[in-house]
Amino acid sequence: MKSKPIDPRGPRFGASITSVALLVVIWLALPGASSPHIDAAWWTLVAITALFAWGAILGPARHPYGWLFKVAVRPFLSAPEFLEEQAPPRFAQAVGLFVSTIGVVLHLVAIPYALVAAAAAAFIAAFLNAAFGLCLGCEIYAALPKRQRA
Amino acid sequence: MSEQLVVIVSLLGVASVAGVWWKRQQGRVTHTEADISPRLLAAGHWLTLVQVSSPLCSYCGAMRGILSQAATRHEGVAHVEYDISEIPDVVDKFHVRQTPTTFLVEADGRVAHLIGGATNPRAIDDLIEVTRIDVEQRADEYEI
Repeated sequence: MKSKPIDPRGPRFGASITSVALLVVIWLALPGASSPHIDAAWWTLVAITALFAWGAILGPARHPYGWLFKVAVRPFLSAPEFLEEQAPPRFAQAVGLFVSTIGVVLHLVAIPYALVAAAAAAFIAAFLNAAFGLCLGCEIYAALPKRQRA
Repeated sequence: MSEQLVVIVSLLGVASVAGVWWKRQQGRVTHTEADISPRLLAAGHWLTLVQVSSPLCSYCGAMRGILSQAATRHEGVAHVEYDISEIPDVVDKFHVRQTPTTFLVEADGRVAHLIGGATNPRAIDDLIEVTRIDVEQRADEYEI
């Protein structure tokens, strides 16, 4: 099943929303990071994790941010210079899902600063994607020794 | 409050430095003396643009368009694309760690230039031209 290519600016738009949301998590989480409990920061990261899962399973074209890009942003942009396959941004969402899930779970078992650390790692990846168009997970995949590549 | 600001500003700083560093790596050209097997090249062309791609690669599609158009613009130049898993020997020999990576390869397998990451059509045109002049000069050095 091969999905249609997308405007590469779509995932970058989504990543910028995710970046801001992750900064909100860090902001909310830091004051009480040494004694984890279920609070607004945790719930926000749960929501972000759910959105990562959505993107990883259904792909960027069927993600709420993709839809928002299509109706609210895309009409104001010129035609894209090139198109992108859906696989790389989808993989990026899966990497984001992995990292944020670790944060959500470790926070639940009361590991101090796990939520902040996971949100920070995810923020760096999302920000690099939004600001520079760099898919960090994809670069890491290409750099893996070939026996580790699927 | 100040703790939060410090953390957020530091994260922005680290990520920005990493991003700028990555951007500067994109399209970086390396000159090599090594060669690759002429089997991998398009027969009957003086120069082959060998693109190494991977399934999870944001700019491989863009680079495919840029390189195939360059191949049509320049006579005797061809574009071929391999998946990173198809040519492990080349990947190991040249330590290819990012995709797309593009080799400008002369007909005998000599790799004239290596481009890491994506780049623009102008840069490709310039490199092809540099290589063409170099090949012609080398050909002038001996009679037979």
